[in-house]
Amino acid sequence: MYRLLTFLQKYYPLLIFLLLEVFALNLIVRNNHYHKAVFNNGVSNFTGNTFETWQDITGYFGLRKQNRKLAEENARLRNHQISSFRASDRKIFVWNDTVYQQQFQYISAQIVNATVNRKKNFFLINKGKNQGIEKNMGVISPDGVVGVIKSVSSNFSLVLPIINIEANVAARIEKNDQGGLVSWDGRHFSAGVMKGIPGHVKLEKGDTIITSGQSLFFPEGLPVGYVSGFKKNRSDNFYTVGVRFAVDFNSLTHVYIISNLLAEEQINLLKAIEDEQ
Amino acid sequence: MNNNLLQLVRFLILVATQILVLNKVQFAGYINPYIYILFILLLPLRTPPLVMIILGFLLGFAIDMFSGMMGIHTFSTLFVAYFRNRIIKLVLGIGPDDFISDMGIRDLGITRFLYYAGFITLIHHILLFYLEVFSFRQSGDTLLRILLNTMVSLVFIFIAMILFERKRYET
Repeated sequence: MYRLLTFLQKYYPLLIFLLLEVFALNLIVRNNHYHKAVFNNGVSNFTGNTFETWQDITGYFGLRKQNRKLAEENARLRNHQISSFRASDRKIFVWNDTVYQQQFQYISAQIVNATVNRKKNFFLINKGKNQGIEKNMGVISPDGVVGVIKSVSSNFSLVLPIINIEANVAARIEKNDQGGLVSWDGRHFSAGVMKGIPGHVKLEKGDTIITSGQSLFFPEGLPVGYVSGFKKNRSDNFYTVGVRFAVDFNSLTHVYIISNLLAEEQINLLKAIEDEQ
Repeated sequence: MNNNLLQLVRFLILVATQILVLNKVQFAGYINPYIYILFILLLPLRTPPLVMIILGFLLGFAIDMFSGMMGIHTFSTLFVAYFRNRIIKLVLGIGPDDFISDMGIRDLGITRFLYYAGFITLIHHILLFYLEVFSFRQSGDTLLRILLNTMVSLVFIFIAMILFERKRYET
């Protein structure tokens, strides 16, 4: 007993050190994703508010650029307004009212904290459960696809952007409708890769890559990026396509969250098929 | 200034600088300077081991809370905090009985300080970046990140020391 006590007295810093290291390792392994660790224990509101205050202060420096982007988007939206069109045919009126059912709703939000230089980047935005955000909703910016909502707290949510090595987006080449998966290779935040394009397809630098519409989270046809280069794999005759992302993740501040009003229906249908098999 | 108060202020300033400014700085998509371990570097030589451990843990945890992945900064900062005095003994040959109160440039000199800071920063970064990717695949890529980041962190630490170290003893 006495020996044990002297042992403890001599080595207690080592024991505490080991204990805390095991605790840290446990955090790493168990919560490899930020959201579990941070979002379940109330820390999120504190960190979120800190970043939001800081964003309020530093946000002014980018106002000019943001204004320009918003103005550009306003102009684009104005082009789509009914008042910008002249009715040339009576049928259009009928179509507008009954044929189109709204499928996607947009909620605007601001990024309060973002990382672009990790392998597993995350963005924190200032809207959460209280504002109608739910897990797996798509996130876009005026320029194109940003990512999906990974987790939500009451007033903040965490976005898993394309520039996270665990993310990928179903996409297709606009001009020939060839589908593939766009993901990130963990290097620079402006470039990713697209896989799954068969080798017989003709590609060119600068081809636009858009969302395929097969994903539940994004409407069809949003820009994801542009082809910056391509290489045919000898082994399986598929291309590895270099992608320049449409979104500049480093200067991103305003985003829209897309809620798919028909997502539940689609998911239920898919589930029904799976259950039958 | 009272030494404990000085340490507290240093802690807060370094954590704030790290999470609000430096975590948003990046060069070439690869590099993110980590200046906060300067707090561990500058702790007095006679700090009791238990205090070193607790401060290392708190510092890492504070950075973790604000930077995306839990645990990686805690683990690596705690590690260098625990082994710091042993590393000092190994690298500089200074033990706890030597009369050096401050581990800054003023007392150590530029070469010895950089040697010491570089060693600890390197160990910290090796742990940090391997824990971040959590695999030994693409090790070349990770090693490149470690080396570049260590150099940049060291430059930032050096600049901070030049700018903010008090020039004379206060009596």
